[in-house]
Amino acid sequence: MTDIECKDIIGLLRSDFGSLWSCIKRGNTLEIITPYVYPNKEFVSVFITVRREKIIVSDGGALSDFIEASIDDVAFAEAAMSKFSDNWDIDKHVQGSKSERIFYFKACEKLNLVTSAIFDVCNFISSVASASELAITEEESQERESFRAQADKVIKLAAPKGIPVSYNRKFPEIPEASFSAVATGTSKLWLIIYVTGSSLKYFQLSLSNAIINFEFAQESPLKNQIAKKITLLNNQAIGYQPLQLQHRREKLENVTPDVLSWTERDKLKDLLAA
Amino acid sequence: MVAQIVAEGPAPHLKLCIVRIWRTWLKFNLMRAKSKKIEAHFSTYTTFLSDKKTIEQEEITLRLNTKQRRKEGESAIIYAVIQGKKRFEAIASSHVKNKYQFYVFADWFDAGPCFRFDSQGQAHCNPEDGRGLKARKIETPHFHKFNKDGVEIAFHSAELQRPSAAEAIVNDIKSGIKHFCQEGCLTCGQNAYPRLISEQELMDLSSDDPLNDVSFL
Repeated sequence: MTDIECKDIIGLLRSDFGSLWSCIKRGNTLEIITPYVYPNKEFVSVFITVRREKIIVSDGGALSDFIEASIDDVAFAEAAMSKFSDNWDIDKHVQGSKSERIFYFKACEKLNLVTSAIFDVCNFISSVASASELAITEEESQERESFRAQADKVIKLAAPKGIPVSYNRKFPEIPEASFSAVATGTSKLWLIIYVTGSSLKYFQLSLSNAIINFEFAQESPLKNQIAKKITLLNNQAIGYQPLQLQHRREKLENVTPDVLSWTERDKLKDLLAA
Repeated sequence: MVAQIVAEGPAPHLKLCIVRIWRTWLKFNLMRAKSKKIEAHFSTYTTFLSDKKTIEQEEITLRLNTKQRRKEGESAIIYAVIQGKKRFEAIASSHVKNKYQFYVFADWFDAGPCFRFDSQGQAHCNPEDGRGLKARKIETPHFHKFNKDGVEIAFHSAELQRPSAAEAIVNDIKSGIKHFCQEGCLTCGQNAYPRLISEQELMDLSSDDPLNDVSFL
């Protein structure tokens, strides 16, 4: 082939790209499989359903599942969600109290605006999912995951019998906070946050995150149920530089006195029994 | 090794070891892009898939995982040729009807699954194989395996290419596990496939509609 014309390509594009769209009826909801792709090579599906005479185009809860499974950086994920939801004018809906599900959606009233809403929701999903893949460095991701795996096991062993522990927990009563682990007794909660970092900067962020999450908890309707607010601080991490973290640590100790270094983790049993 | 780490604290060399394990886990559970081990040992991988393997337990109980809104169960796989643990895992959604997955894991290759079936869920985008863009999209129900480049691809078995057969498999998890075992060369003692028992069957709230209980406005 020596020459190539627009007309040669446009027809193929419309046909081949067009063929990537498909629709499956699932109960009263339509699943639209789109040509947009998550970073893990799964095609983005959006879901169309009608509520109160409005047409809702949503992610079906898939984006928050993807973010939760991919990256443990709540602050970054929320920043990405906030920025891109502003860009694409996307709304958020939180459903359920026991097992919370987060949906991102766009509502419209006329059928001829549905494709426009699908365009916005797909671009939003694609932007957030891609940005989240680059949220933190590989070293930081490994640091957090390895510490979390060890800390989860230590807490599981330290928790008294009959006190169940859940991990990476959120509460609808404390909407913007998340906790590394939560032990639940009769009307009592032990909130635990892990603090670590592969560099000083990441350690500072992790410490700041613990302070603000515990402050949110203290101001929440659950405050009377909280038995202890425990920080498990990885004093063997590369980012742990005590002199540079002194003020933040003092601030944290004003919010909660129970700040345990990893090397003092034997004391965890006593804190969870109290 | 994990127990030792917990008891003694994260010594530097052990920490590096954990980091390596997690790197592998992240790569194959989250990114699921490419397996260098399968690429390097592709003939071992294809032999593993095509050889007869035995699922140890004849009955597998699916237990409810409330947080993940799904039911899960597993059994070891008996296969002597490659070392390390091998296992079969079954997952069924507790809120979406007929949404289930089966996995085969073999630690010798990688931490992630090396063979899988999805009854529903997202379509997969395969790499270009010379057949053009249209052929790259593989909708569910579909299987996943790895190609000679170590890249995870989705495919339809001959059975799944027939719409009526595919629909029957999606609508009945028992047909699904039977087909998975056929395609993955798995048996279960004297039986062709294991029996799945759901401890939550009486409380099954699943619906055809994935947004059945979502109010939005």
